Amino acid sequence: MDVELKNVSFSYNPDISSSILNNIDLSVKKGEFALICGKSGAGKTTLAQIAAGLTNPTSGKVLFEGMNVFSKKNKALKKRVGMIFQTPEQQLFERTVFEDVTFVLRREGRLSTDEITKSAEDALTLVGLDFDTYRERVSFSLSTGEKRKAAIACILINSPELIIFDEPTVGLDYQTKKSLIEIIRRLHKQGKTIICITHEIENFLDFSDQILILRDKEVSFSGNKQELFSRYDEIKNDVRFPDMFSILLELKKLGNMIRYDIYRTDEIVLYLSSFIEDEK
Amino acid sequence: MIKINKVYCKSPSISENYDILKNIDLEIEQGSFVSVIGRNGSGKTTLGRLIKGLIQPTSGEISVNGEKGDGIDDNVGYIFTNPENQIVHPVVEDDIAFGLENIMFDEAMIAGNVESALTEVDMFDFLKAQIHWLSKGEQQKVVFAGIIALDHDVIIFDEATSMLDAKSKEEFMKIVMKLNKVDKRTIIFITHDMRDAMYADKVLLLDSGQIAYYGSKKEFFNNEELKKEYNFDFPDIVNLVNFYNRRGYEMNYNNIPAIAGKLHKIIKDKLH
Repeated sequence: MDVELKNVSFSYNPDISSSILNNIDLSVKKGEFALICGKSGAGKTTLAQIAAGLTNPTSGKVLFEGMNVFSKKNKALKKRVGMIFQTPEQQLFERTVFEDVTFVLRREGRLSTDEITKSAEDALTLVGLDFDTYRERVSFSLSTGEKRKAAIACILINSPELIIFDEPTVGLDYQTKKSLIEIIRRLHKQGKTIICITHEIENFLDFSDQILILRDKEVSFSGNKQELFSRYDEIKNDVRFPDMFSILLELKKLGNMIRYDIYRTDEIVLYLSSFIEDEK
Repeated sequence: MIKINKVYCKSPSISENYDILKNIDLEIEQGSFVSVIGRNGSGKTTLGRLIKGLIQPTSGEISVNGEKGDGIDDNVGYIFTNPENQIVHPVVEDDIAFGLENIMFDEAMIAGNVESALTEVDMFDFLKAQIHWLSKGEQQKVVFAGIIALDHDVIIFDEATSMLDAKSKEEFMKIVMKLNKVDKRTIIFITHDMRDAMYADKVLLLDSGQIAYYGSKKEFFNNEELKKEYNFDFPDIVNLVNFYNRRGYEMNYNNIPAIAGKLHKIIKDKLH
């Protein structure tokens, strides 16, 4: 689903001059993966909530497939979006995983019991939780990683076309983080449009189509990863560049005559290790 | 010195009653910086809560500076993962003052202490701000200021930087390093980000409630067997630094400009 934010501004209280976002433009095409980065307090979460159609901006437009999402007649558009909040595991409230994941569908009463079960199975499989093992597990007894995956399944069961993740990998251990990144990568491959807010850009850089950086309520950078690296000095305070890029770009500053066109961190390690390899 | 002697701790859940920590024997010297890592559910937070005295072990003993506490230890500061769990006042300055008021701090000095703690975390401008309007990262900094204001011997950080951006994190770590190196406070830093372990003197790796490794950072980052056994990767930068250190170059893990400087020289020599 195409998403477009046009000149969006937001403030909690329009009477006060302190706004949260000023004149933001963002355009994410169907099937694209967009990263949103920036300092704490830059307005990332607010922007995500606006892009999800949950928060009405003070001014500006939010268009899904070219249609204004806040117009009453386009209400159905909002159903095509899934928003996964920070630490979504805190939103689990039912007794079992199955009840949590199927909560919305059961309330809607649109599908039969069998169809609901099938949807739950599909959603849990998508996040790597085996349906038979987890359906009757008590939500609160799961580990943080399992809870988060279950919470994501609660959103995926509605088959959203646009999925917005707010800091999806925060607080997870290495292995769980890796599997969650893989889940997000798979959703992207399946053609879902994804907007992902993160401090940990190195986790998603490989497969992101565009990066948007917020600074002091405004867009300080918008472009792809090649462009991001070419503007390292300007934006290195806003995002944590992967260490390997920082080293490569520091070398560039020192006037070193080596290659700077490598965009995978493991390849940079190999490349930077190649200079004394033959002395071994 | 923190001494943990044969400590077991059971899960509070009645339906799934198992040991979260099993037979933990551990000594942490005063003034050291220990990074605690391990998978979700390995017992990191439980260990931190035991040291703070928020929970009691099922068996075994814990003492901080020789005192065997049976309640909450005022000598230990604890910063939770989610800042909302320890924010009690709606306004930033009141929240930080709350901790000081609680320990009967001289009232005339409170305002000054609050201001200097906030200045330290670069949040002075938010003195009168409503906390619930701040971002999670800003809230984490407010909580940190609250802990700095109290003079704890030991500070436990439980994933306390997870919501900070690059710059804030760097500044946060600078303050943590100062608290450790200058003020000689003991730092226990629970984290998932193995890059954080680069700041520590020692690494404690927990696995299924037991100590899988406790020793120097350098030895840890060179322990390939441990990496295989517990299925994790070292950060890229560690691999690069290890590569050169094994060949006689001396590089530190956590100083990117210095690493770049040394590489610059190596590459220059190679190319000419």
